[in-house]
Amino acid sequence: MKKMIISLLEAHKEIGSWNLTVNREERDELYLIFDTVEQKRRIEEVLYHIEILVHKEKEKEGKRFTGSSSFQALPGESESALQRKIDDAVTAASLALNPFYDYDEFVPAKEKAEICDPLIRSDRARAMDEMKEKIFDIMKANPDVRLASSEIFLTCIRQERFNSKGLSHTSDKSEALLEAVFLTGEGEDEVESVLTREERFIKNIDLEKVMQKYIGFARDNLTAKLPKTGKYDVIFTEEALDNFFDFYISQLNASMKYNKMSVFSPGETIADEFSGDRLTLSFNPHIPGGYRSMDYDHYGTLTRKTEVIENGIVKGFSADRKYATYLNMPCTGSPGNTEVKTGSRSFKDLETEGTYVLSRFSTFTPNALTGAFSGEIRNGYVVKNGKRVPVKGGSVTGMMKEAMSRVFFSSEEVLRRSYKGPEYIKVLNVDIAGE
Amino acid sequence: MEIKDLKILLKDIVRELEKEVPYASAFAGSVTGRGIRVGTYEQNVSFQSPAKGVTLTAFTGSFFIEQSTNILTEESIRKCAAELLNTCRKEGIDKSAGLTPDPGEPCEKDFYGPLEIDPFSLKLEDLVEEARKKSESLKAMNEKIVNMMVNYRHEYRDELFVNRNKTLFQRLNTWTTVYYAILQDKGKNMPVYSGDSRLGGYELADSDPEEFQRTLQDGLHLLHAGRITPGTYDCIFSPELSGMFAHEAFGHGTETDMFLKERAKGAHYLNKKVAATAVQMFDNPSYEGISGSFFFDHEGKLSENTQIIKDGILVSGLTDLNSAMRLKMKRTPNGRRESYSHKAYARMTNTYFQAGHDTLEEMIKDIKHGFLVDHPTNGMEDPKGWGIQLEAMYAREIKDGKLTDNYFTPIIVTGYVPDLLNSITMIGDTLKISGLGMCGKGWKEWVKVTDGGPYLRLKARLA
Repeated sequence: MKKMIISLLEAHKEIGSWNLTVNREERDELYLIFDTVEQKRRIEEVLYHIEILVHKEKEKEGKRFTGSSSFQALPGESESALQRKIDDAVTAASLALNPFYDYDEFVPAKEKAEICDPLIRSDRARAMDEMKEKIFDIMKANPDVRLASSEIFLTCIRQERFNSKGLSHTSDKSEALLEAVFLTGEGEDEVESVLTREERFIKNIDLEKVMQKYIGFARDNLTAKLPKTGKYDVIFTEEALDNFFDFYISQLNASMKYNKMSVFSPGETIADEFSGDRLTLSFNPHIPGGYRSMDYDHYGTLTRKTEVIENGIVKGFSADRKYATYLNMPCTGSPGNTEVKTGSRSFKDLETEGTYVLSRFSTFTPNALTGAFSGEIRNGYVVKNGKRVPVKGGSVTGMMKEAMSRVFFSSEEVLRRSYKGPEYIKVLNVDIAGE
Repeated sequence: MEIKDLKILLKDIVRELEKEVPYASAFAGSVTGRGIRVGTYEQNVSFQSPAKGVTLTAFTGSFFIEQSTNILTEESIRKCAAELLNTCRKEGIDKSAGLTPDPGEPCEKDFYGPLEIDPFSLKLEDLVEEARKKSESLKAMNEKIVNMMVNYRHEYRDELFVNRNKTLFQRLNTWTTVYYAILQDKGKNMPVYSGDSRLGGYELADSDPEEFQRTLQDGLHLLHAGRITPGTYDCIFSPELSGMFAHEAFGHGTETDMFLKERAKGAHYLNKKVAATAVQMFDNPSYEGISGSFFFDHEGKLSENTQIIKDGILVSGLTDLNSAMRLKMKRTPNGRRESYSHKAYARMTNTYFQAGHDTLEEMIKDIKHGFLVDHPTNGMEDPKGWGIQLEAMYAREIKDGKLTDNYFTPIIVTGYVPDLLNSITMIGDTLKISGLGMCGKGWKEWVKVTDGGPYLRLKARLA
């Protein structure tokens, strides 16, 4: 079918460039309620993603324009059905013209992103059983805590990429998702903690360590109290790290700059003043097991590591081929994983008296346009008289610009999903609303 | 092969499966649609991902097993069925185990959602041009708008459910319009949006221009607005925020798959008082025309209205097939999948507080100091702890019975759900249901929902 698609794309006179991605996905899912199987599922799916570019020259304006459109083809679709879809896409692309851009010429990749767990690729049933047994063993060792439910999804995707500039690339990637809910306590005082982790490699979930942590969170919730309202130093860790830098990831993407949604320019500082560490942030598409590791981006551009903030100063933007062309800036390919430089202080140095250490929130996603952040606290503690006193409820709020002016990054580093950087981020003087 | 054409094949497969397993069913789904986005700097026309495939379900006597494929040939679907049966045999089939999923009353019917003007009958260039003109005219409303995006999306979903008693097909057309503006001033951004999503076609394309004007004015106030001083205040929730409150506070908490997992405090409060006596709350997938509605859920239960809270008392949960069976509860039409390739869970549809008798003016006039909180952006459930997190774009200060021009942004509402519900003292007289939302189970399994309510007067912690 892919040969038929390529042949139809190449034959179409109005298509300037095209991009075909074939994903063959196999997924096994296990659902447990306590220690009983609720459901097992197996999914097999083949999808063909096609993007086409139509280039037009408007004589009056003497300029060139490009329209793009994308669609999906399904296995078994007839040639005539495919032709119709392609014709519709060409029509659609011709109606929505933007300034000209084109894909890059193919460059062979020297490095290959390591993103497929060998056991997920070769024997998902065994991988599933091993995970299940390990989970049950860990629960046996913690008899005061119950595993209310767990879901394990193991996916292997074989991806083939082709485009009109000579790209021909095959890669396998895996996904391991674990969701687990822990209960402890009695009757109406029973509490829970919810673990969700998604990684490329099962080993990156680090089952033993992460389950013990979340079992601990459940136990903490038995005695956790509302935090006090006021301004405090807060260490963000665990789940808060997954989206902590979303504001900068968005704002330093050239698409935002082009659409006048970014307030940053190269050479500017990210905060008005600095009383702590200064942020150095890069996009790195080559971290083994990184969730956003890739050899080529969606346009077929060879990806590379890009530093966008250095010591608190904006260095540049991540720019795929389209926006690099529009803004006349270097093409970096799509941003990969977020990599943040660690600091010099250990967690022990940062965990001072009166500091809140917050691990879990209902949600914690700084606004991509304003930098405002907020989150209801689901798990954390405050250091009081040298002891860790659990807290829960209430909320933390702030603005990223202010946060980055008084921040300290730990020397300990962590890789979780698409983030590699300080395991602990301490921000001074953060608003907490509680008691 | 079109989804509707699979009826006979799937019926035959279900029959074959049930020669060995106590219960079997099949679900097939597909989506066809287009999206048009015209902004000040770029534009795009895209085609909806088809999400087309089949899921076969078998109950072994102990648990469910499903197998899905998107290769829709008879050969492939039968192969899928054979693999499913093999898996069942390996796991062990036990018809005497005592658990039996309810196949429901016999019904064979095709359903079609409302549609006056089929968007596929219109010229694409006309739709794009209309979006372009709208973008230009809205941008001209204020110089602080640096990017004005008009989004039109239309789709139809075909869904087929087959078990031994039922062959049900539905086609649901949805039209979505969103106006999204970026305001900018002195290095600060403020995004604002308005719009709606409803069942129907092009007849719904024009979103209320007055609503965008109101949203724009709010956005201009917010550009340089500060953060609120955290505290507990007299509040009025807008209908949109009331809707999100209904959804997060008691919608998720009554999804009975959570009862099975002992994750819902609500399980201990069935037939007990959880809210002020005037509070009535519903989940209703048969509500005409709104985008969370359908004719049957993804497990074959026909749509009907479910009252969740009656006179302040929690009276019902929302079930899927599995939890209804195991908990011996009455089934409700809430078994829903994100798409054919996802599991069905107990999910909300259109969830709302019923309107009362108070006007907004009456609510405001005796507030000495408080806030009108509006424009919800995000929420999160906590069915075990009955905590709540609602995020809203702003709170507008009320002083001595009058709305002021003091705005604060953004706002997060947190608290203990029964405290909030029991603090409701006034309920507005007009119900409004918002159509743009999606709902996740935690951070995955996204389904289309709406939520709504009237204005609510209550006490809440804001930050």
